[in-house]
Amino acid sequence: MRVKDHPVLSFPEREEITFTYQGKEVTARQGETIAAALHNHGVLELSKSGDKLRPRGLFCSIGKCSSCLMTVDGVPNVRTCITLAQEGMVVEKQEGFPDLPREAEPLEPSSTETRETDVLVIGGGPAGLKASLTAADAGGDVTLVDENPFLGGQLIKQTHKFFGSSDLDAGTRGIAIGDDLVGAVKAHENIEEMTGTSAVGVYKEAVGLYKNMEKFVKLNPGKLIVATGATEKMIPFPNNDLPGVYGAGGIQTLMNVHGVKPGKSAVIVGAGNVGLIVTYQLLQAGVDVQAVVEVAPEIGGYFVHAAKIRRFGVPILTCHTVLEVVGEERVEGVRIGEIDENSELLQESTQYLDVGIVGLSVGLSPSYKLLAHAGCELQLNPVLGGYVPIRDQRMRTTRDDVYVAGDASGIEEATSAMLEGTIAGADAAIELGVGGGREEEKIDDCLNKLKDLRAGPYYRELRKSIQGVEIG
Amino acid sequence: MKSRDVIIIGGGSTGLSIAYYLSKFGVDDVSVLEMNYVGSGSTGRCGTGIRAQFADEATIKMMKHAEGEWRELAEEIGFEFRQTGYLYLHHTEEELNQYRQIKELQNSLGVPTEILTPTEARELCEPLDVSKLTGASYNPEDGKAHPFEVVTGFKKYFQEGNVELRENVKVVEVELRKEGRLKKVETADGTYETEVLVNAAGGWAPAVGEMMGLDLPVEPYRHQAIITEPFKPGTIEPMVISMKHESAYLTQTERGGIIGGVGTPEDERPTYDTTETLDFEERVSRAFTAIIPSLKYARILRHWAGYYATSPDGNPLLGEYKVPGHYLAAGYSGHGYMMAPSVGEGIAELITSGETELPLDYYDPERIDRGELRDAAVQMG
Repeated sequence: MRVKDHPVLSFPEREEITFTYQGKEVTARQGETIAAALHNHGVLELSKSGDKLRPRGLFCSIGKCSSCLMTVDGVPNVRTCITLAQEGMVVEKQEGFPDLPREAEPLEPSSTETRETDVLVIGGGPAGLKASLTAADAGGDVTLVDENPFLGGQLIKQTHKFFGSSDLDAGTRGIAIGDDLVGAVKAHENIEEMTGTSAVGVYKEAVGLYKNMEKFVKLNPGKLIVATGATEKMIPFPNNDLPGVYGAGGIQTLMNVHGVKPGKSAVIVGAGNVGLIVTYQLLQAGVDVQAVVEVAPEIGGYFVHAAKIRRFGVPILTCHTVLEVVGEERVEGVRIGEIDENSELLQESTQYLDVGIVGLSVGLSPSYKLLAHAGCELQLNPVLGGYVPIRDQRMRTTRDDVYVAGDASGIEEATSAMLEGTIAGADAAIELGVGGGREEEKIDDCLNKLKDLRAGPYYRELRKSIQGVEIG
Repeated sequence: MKSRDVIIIGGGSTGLSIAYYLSKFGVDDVSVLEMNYVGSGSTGRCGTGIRAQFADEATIKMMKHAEGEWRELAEEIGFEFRQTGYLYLHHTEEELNQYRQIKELQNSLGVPTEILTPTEARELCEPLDVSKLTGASYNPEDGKAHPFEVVTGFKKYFQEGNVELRENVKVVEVELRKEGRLKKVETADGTYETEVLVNAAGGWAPAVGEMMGLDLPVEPYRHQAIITEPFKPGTIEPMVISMKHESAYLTQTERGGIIGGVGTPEDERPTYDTTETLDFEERVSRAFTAIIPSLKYARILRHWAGYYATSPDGNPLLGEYKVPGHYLAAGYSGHGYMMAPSVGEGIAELITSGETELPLDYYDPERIDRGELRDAAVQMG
């Protein structure tokens, strides 16, 4: 199902390609992932889980959750949410743990290479893009790595206009900011872009990068900036693993990047900003959202976002929770109910909603694992979303050659991620001695803007938490 | 202050096994002191393999006996000992002939090793590249057991008897009497009076030795291992060994991950550093994909390091040593886990009766002081 007549986005016709799924020919648009193409044809179940053979579908859409593994051209466990469909590909469903192929050509001796770079940035979202541009503008050689087939992170999925003052890109849609930054990165001669590349570890010898399942690159950076973003949190309820239960970001990727409608009707769980925004985006794409369910007594997100979806008549049910998803092979409906102040269910309040989509926006966890592997000191900080690295104001971790920026340093939003990315990129350039002279100025400017952004009573807890993980 | 008949330092497979056999022989008044959690040292980091395919009589006897005990322990304690065999791949006629002789020795001691053709080897493990093989050695009685199932099995077993198992308890001092006998073992949380102390502290055995003024000939060498994402279980049943490929060993766990490693590089120095290295990841990838080419599609899920607590001749140090009542059970140099039941039984017999039919004499720690080094047992898997 394609998105039609979107008020903000347009999806121009692109060349059509053909691949096979379970022996049958299916079509895809050029530049579309395998999972998105299959979704468009109504294939929600991508595999059966390893142990219990439960149906598995798309969840995070950014290569982090392993819910979309399929066998592609004989290669098992391919993450089809970040692998582009290509003409003639053979895509097969995995029923349980996949077979290890019985035959294969030997590994090529040329399959590894060793390289150096001034600055390695891992993650091409708002923080990583800004970090790369800032370090590259200063004259540093930058390598920018991302697991996804394209840069932009979650920024290129945001159809709403940003808030705040105009020098923080307010009034501009996230997608436009994203396109500008990605364009600037691609045009920059000091930046080498490596998409489709996983950073597998930060070793003493080098950072290990695995490119397109083909090449292992041992990259020795002068400075490393980790901007790996975050992963969706999951909450427990029966059938929370069925195809049709998505992370909010997964829905955004499907709709706003690939122009594929996730289904006809939805319930969104969580009324924070992400939940409210994805609800509005579903409405823009022509999906009927029956309710937003929020367990807390109050809406967590901004009033403006809540008002927008209320205008569409979508109820925001506070003190409500998901009791279970109903369905065998995919979501067929969801039972919700109201809870009292002791978190006890009010029996008479339960209701069944006939929907095919359950969108979870119950928070994000920083993707901290590379930082842990690098030996950076971490702290468990619930307000910031989970484990975050201890760092100073210039985003330096407890390892002086490793920086962090964006959601990986604690969950905030795109504007703070871009500011932190700029600070990390500028400081890395100064430390490497490639600074063009304006870097101190940029850092001061960004620090002031971050202070403004985090001002006000709404951010009191956040400010306290950030102070708790900042040193020096 | 508590008084115990036997204090065992180290809650790995060795220490737990010794406690198990002591309780079998009626010595219930035993405490096992583990400074971390059970299996947190070399046991929980090992390659899971259990084999009797060795090249010297004593080790073959110890391991033949151990495999019988592993079977019974699995029944009694409740873990799986999967006898899926060890498959040694041979790449030259010379290597094949050498292993034919070893096979004869193993057969004479009751180990049913056979020499297979490359085609027969492939029947045991389909994804193997057998095109460059001259043959393979296979003992169907060898196998594997999941170390955490084993240690948690022991832990549950001890909850019902009188063996006291304490985790997160670090021994800080061992006090001797004037005449040189043992007096007290002091921990960070309580003191024990005992006349028998077993040093089963693996890589940390020298630190325990030092508390008694002993300079134990054991050095920790970092040994790394990996496990891949899971594939359909049953694909790689035997433990596959290839000396040609950096002494690589690999097999599949019951859950489906491919677990294994390659030998320690020759220039590696003793260290307590357990940082994993990119160099190892590259070496293990090259070796594994040379043995099974389709493993190039398998992603490494976890990578860790533990110790090969190594003695000067690569063989364990087993028996009473220097201080009366002090028994050493360490220095296995890479095959302590698999040997644990025989060591457990043998040391328990020495403690209770002073003698054992198992060839523990061969591993008498004093051989090192006398300069009688044994031939090194093959260290892998």
